[in-house]
Amino acid sequence: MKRKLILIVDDDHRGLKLTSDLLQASGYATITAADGEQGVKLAKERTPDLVLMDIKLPRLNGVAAMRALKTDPKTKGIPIIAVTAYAMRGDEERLLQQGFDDFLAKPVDIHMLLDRVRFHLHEEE
Amino acid sequence: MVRRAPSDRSVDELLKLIRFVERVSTKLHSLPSEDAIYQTVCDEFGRSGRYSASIVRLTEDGTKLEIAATSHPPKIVEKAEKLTGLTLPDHKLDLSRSTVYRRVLETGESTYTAVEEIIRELFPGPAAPMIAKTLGYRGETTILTPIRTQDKVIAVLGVSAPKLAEEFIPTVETLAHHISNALHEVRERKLHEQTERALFEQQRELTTRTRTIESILHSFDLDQRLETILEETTSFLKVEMGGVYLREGKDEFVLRKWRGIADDVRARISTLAPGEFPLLKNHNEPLVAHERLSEAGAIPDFMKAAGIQALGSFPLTVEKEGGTELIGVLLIACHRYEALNEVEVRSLRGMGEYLALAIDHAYQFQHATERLIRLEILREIDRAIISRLSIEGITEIVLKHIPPKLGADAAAISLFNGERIRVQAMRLPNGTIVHEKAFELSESFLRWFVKRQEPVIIPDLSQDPRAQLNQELIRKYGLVSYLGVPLVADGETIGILHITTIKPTQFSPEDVDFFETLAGQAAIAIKSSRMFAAIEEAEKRYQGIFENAAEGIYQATHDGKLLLANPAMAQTLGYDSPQEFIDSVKNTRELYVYPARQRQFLRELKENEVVTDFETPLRRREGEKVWVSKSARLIKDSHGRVLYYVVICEDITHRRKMEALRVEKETAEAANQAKSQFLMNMSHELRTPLNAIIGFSQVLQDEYFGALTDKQAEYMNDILESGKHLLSLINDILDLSKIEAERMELEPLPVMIKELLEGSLVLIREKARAHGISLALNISAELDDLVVTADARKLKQVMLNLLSNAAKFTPDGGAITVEASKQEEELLISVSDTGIGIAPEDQARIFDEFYQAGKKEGKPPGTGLGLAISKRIVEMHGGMIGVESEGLGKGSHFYFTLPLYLKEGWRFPSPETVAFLERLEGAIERARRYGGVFTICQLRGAPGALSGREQLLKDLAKKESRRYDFCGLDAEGNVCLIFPEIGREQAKIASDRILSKMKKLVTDTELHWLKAAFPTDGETVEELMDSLGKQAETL
Repeated sequence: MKRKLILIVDDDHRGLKLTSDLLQASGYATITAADGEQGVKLAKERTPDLVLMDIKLPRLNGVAAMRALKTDPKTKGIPIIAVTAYAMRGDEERLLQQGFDDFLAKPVDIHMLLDRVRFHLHEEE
Repeated sequence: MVRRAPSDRSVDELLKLIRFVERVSTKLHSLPSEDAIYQTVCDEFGRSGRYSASIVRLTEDGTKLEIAATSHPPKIVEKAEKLTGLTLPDHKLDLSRSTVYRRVLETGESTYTAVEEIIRELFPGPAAPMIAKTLGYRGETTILTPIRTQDKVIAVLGVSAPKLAEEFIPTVETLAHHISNALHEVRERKLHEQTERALFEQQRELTTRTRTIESILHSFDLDQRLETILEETTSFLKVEMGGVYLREGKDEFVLRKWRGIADDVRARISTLAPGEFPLLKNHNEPLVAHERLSEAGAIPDFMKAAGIQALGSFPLTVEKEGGTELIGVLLIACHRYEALNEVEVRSLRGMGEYLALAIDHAYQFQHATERLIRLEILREIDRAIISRLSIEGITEIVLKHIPPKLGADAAAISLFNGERIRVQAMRLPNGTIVHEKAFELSESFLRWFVKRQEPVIIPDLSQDPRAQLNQELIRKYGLVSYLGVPLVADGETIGILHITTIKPTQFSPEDVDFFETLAGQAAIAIKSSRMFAAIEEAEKRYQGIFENAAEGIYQATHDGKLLLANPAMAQTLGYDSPQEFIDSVKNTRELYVYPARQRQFLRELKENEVVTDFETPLRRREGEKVWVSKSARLIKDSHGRVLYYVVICEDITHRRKMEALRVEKETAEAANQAKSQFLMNMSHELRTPLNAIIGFSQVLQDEYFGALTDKQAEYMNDILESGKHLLSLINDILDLSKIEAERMELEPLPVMIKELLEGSLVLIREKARAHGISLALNISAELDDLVVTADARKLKQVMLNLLSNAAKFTPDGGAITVEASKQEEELLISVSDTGIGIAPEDQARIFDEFYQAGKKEGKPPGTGLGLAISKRIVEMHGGMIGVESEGLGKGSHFYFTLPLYLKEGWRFPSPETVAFLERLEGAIERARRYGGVFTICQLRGAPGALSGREQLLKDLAKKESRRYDFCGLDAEGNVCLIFPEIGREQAKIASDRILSKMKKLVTDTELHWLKAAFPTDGETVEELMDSLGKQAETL
């Protein structure tokens, strides 16, 4: 079975490393980007099966990047999970309203992360 | 004939004759007439015994001879008459059959002839001798002598005597001469008498004329004059019938006065055209006709049938500018034909001029009188305009004056109001004024009429379908002719004046003119009346606005003297009434805190005539300052002179404070915003490295990258737990900051409790499983579908807090149970654990901020905020939180309640209540910060009396709320007002106003104000509300 590809977009390199390593160790292929623009570019090139998108990003922020992907017919079917340290009241709903398919608050609970990833890749346990 | 010389006897005879003739001559003076003279002469001859005489004269027409007189005694004459069968005086002889007499008449010469001869001549026929015998002529000869007057022979004197001789002729001629003289005398006398009589007649005529004229002129009344004219003329002319016609139309003469004329005759001659007057051919000449004249048909048959035999028409003419004008005709008629003779006709003609003048003058007088009447009516209406009568009053005056003086039997006025006819008043022929819709004109007629703006005449109402007047009324009063005049004011038709008459009338241009003027006046009067009413209305409204305005309004003269003020103004400046204000303040200068401001204000006002939003502090009655914003305008009269100025004065103390506060609030908000932003950034910054710490630790711990040694695992765990602890600290601090920075607001939404609780369990399932703690959820069945309105997120937070506490303080293998049940009006949710329990002394304070119950070894400390936050959340929902624990080691039972108002409507703190609490808290905040005061007033009635009335009270209060900081309902539904910056006493004054208004609306319960002032009655929401509550109890 081909391995699922996951795109991680985050400007925190450590966080990026954490998530990427974790996912790889869990059997997924990963690609990463450190800013929104790069993220969109990569997504369009490689059409990953899932995107983990941080919100506060240089160049193009996470919401705009998400919108760019959602409006592109090539990439609009890719589930995008918002991952952010901004977890204030109403943020979750707002992000979901804006178009994200799911929401994870940082610091991530790695179990929660894996759980959500599996869910959106239709891999029920 | 040869003349013989007289013989002696003849001389004797002659002398006797001469003497006789002389004697007779003397008797011929002062005789009345021709006949008398002849008779006297003959009588003398008869008496003489010696002589006889006869006088034969020509008849008037000069064709016959007749015996004028004889000297024969009557007895003889009788005898002779019997004999001859003739009557002597009547006996006439054709001149052509006479010879002797004729000769004498023609030649004028005397002749001497035989008696027989003349007898034969006079009485042709065989009887002559006998007549001669019978008559007994003395002598056988006679002398015939002509009698002359004015050189004409008119008679023949025949004298006979015995022994009469031809020589006696001169003597007889002398007698004839005397007779002529006598005749002359008589004629002279007769002439004289005639002249005298003529003069006398003239005099009489003059006198009569004068007297007639006097009596005619006695009265100015036309009617009276006509009457007098008729009387005088008929009596002067001694006729029985007379009539006066006056010209009415161009070619029509109407019989205006008559006497003695039979009805049937009169009917046929009541109206005549000039040509129809039987005799008025050339109207400058009267024509008199009587039966004798040969004017065929001069007297109409029907008159003749009535016995009229003489008829006269006399024109009555007056000299006017355009020439001679025929103004009437005087008709005279009589049963006798000789009644109208030359003299009388002539005199009447002479009088005719005077009569015409008299009539004309009377006419003029009548016109003048009418005009006066009309002027008087117009004046009355003018008075009505000035006296500002109501519209009803005006219509009454107009209608009252119209009939019947002006020939109108009934009149009415219709007034328009927009399209409709609004007012109708009608004056009936009998004088009463009613308000019946008599004159309903058809729509199309109305419109046409209104557009025309000109009078309309309908000569016969029954014939004209246009008007469609109320037929019943018309029939009832017999109205025939109609004149409609529009009431026009300023070019606008505002109504119609209707005039009707019972007799068929042609309204003359003069009449129409007058009514038009009348209508014009009435229109002005009515329009003025309406304008006055409108002005009054406007004045009232202005008055209402002035009195009730929320802003202060006052009027002052240009130098600052107060004229008028409204209640609001007085109140703003702390006076009890406008009157007190005006009395106390002599000049507005006194009000200003800074006199320079007043000067500036007046200067601006004078320059620009209008000033807006001029802000300045003023002094109140007690001396305090109050900031106001003034807007003013100069009021000028029509000449541009300044009368006064009007000022609207708004108390902006409040506004200014609000402004200041707003600025503050904005600053604070900006600061808050900055703080939030900072926190958010901080949060992000803090979380990012934590993410690495926790994340990596987890990954390593989960041995993704190889197994760990025990020590490594232990350290990994320490790192992880520290990281988590740090994370929870950060979260708690953020929460707390949130609570401080911005109010934590609830978002009440429908929440399914069961779902919520189940969801919260999921959150700790992992952890519980890791520690072998069992989780249980007991929800009573009735809560299966229960939906409550709550802030789900926050409740979840509470649940998470309680559950994680439970998990934290429960040893492995323990149990955590979540229960939920409905208890009357509340939902009871609890989290119980079999953990370490809570010491009694800690239980009371466990919900305090930063309190941490008993440090336990090995367990990482919490922040001490979780329960505090949970308590806050629960209480905001209107619930209560608590804990039970039998003590250390006995487990803990945390519970909280959520109120459920399952009645109609969710009574979760209504938006109003939230608003109220907010405001109250805000007010407390400000008051604390700035050290001020404020007062809450709460309106209470009998328990339950005000329920259901909230909306009413709220609406009323809303109207007033501009002046107060807040007005609304508190949690219990009582109307509350928050008055900023004033203490109890002043709040009372202000609130009483609302109270009086409320009292009018809510009359079935007693209303009371309860007041709580900060800080006197309390310094927190609870304290203040408690204070109110306590006051309520004493009601």
